[in-house]
Amino acid sequence: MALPITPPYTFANATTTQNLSYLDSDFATVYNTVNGIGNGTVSLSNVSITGGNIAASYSANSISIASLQTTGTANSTTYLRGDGSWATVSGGGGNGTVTSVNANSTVSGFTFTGGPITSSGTLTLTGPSPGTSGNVLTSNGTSWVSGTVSTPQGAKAWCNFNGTSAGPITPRSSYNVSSVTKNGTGDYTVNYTNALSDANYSGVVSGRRSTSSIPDPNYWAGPYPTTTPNTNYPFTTTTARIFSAIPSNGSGTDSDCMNFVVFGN
Amino acid sequence: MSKVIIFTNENGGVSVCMPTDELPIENVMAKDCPEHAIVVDHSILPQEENDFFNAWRLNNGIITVDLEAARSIQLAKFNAEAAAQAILRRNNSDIGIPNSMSDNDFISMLNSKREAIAAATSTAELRAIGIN
Repeated sequence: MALPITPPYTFANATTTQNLSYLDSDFATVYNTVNGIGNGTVSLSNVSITGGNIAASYSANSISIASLQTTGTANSTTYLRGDGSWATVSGGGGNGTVTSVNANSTVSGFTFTGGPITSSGTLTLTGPSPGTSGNVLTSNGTSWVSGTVSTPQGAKAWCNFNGTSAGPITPRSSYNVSSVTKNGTGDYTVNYTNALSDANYSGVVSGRRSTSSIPDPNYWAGPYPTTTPNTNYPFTTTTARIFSAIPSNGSGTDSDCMNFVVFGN
Repeated sequence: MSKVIIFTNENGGVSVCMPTDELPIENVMAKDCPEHAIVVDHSILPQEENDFFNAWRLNNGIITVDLEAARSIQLAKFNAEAAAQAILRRNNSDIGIPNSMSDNDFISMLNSKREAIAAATSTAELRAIGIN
C-alpha cells in the first residue's frame, strides 16, 4: 500500500538545497531534488507541473529578443509585427523628423553641392554662367546663347518713349529694343536688339498728342511717311519705322508718349 | 550726362539716336547708325528749336538751324492753320454767323503773314507769326 507524501511541498528555507521525498508502493523512499533555490534561479529535473491557474512572472528587462519565437531578421531597421515577423516599415513612418537631406541634379550642366545635410546647412545649385544679360539657356543645359525664346503668343519687342526732343528722345522702358532714332518730327525708327526671325510681323503703334492745340494725330508703322511720301519703309527683321502726323494735312507731329509693340514669329 | 548718337540722315536733316540700356552705346552706334554717326552729349542739342527739328543741320559736330528750311516748316504750319480757319469762316457763313474779318481782309492778312515768314531772319521771328 502506497503512502505517498502528497504536495504541496513547502520549503522552509529557500536558500538551501531541498529534497522532495515520498514513499512508493514498496515503502521505499524516493527522492527528487530541487537544487539552487535562492537568488531567483531554479533548476528542475524530472518534474512535471499540472493543474490550472499556473502563473509565471518575470523581472523587468529579463527577456531578450533572441528568446522570442519570431520569424525574419531582427536588426536596427526592422520592426516586430503582430504576426511575430520582423519587417521594414512600408511607405515611411508617418510623422517624424527628417534627419538628412540630399539632392542630386539630373540636368546636365547643373550640380548640387552641400549635401547631405544632417542638421543644418545650405544646398547650392550651380549651373553654367549666362555671360551676357539676356542670353537664353539651350536644351543641353550647358550653353548660353544670345537670342530670344520663340513664343509667338508674347511680344517680340516693345518700347515706350518720349518722341519730343525735350528728352531729347527718351526710351522710358523697352524690351528687345536697342535704340530709338528720331529722323524727323513725328518720324522714328525702332531698332531691335535681337533680329526677328522674319519681317512678316505685326507692329502696333499708339501715341498721345503732346499738346491740346493740335487735332488727334494718326499713328502708324511704315511704309510711307508723309514727309517723304515716295519712300517705302517696310518692316525689316532689325528695324521698324513709325510715324505720328496730323490727319488733316499730314504734317508730322511729335508725341511725348509713343508706343510700339511687335508680335511675330 | 546722357549720351546720344547723331548723324545726317537721307533727307539732309539730323537724326538723333537714343540707346536703351540693353546694349553699350558703342554697340548701338555700330549696329543702328551709319558710319558717319558720332556720339555727343545730349546737352549740345538745340532743344529750344525742337519745333524746327526738320531744319536741324549737322556740320562738324555742331547742330544749327537752317533758316530757309525753318521758313518752309513755319509756312506749312501757317497754311494748315489758315486752312482750318477758312473752314471755320465758311461754316460760320453757312449758319449765318458773321465773321470778324471780311474775306478780302482775311486773304490780305494771310498774304501779309506769308511775306513776313519769307522775310523772317530768325526762328524767334518765325515762331511769333501765327494765324491769330
